[in-house]
Amino acid sequence: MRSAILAIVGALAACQTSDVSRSVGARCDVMDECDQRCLTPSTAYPGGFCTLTCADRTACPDGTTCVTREGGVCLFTCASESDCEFLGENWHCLSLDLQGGGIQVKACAGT
Amino acid sequence: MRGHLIAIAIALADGVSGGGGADAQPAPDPAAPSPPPDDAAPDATPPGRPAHAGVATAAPVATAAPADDDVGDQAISAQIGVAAGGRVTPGGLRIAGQYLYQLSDDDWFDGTASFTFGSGSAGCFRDRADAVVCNHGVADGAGIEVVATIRHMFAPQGAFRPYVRLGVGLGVVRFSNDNVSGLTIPAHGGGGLRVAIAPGVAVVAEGELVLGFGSFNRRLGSQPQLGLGVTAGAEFRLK
Repeated sequence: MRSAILAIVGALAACQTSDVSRSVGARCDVMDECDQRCLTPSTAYPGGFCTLTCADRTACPDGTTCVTREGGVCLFTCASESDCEFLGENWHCLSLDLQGGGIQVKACAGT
Repeated sequence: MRGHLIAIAIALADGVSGGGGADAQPAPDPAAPSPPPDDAAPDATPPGRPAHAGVATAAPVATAAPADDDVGDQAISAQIGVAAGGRVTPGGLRIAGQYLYQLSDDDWFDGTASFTFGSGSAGCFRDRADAVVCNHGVADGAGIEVVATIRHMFAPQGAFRPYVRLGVGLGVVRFSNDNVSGLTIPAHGGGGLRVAIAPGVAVVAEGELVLGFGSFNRRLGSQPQLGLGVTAGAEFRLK
């Protein structure tokens, strides 16, 4: 009986997970859809992209890094094109300038 | 106050050892002088208990008055506590009112109206597939719910009387900053303890698990409901 209850609770807790969040990665058209900032839909951010403003990579959540675009925003890091597929069509793994680092990093963006 | 507490303790002890249950009643003191016939309470001796020699002249029993630790045929209670939700289950401050109606020796219908007040923080977003996902915290949202449960009371354990509740509710939940609303049908299961503190008055504390589903707007559709609640309050016997 106890294991059945735990199984039900676990199943309920596990459902509705997502790789993205209101902080970084969610689709958006307006700022209200994000915790902090919406990069509205464009060829650079297909579908729109919720993100955080950053001064360096330490200000970004795990799995993301701070690039010089838009004054410094967090984007998902990648090693290859397949790492950006979860963001949808027209997202690519690009070499972008690291904010505050003077080097280039690979991150997901449209163009 | 101290004497009153002692009297309650004696009454509770007598209720447990002298038959307990709903018809427990403190026995009259044999040493006390017999009251004049006009003052004799008509319900001084409960059914099933032999009349004491000292009150043998009292009038016959008409109805059994409830003992001090008895829930009574009907009762109401007011409780306050906290609820933990998450995702699309509201959580926060919980205020509840209950109405109890006795169904059998140990079972009561327990009708509850509860209000949950949490923060209005936004927690919904569109994932990359454009599906709306809500990931609210444990103390977000607001809700109103009516719940019909059966409360089964167990035998007193000293001053405490434990019980379990099981039933189903119908509620409305709202996450204002996300403009998300839903109609929920959760099952409720839990248990608690009640302690009589005065004639017709008891303190109750209970916890419950909420498990069910709700139908939501914003293309969320059917979503699971999962929450916990812990409340405490006072219960008042009506009859």
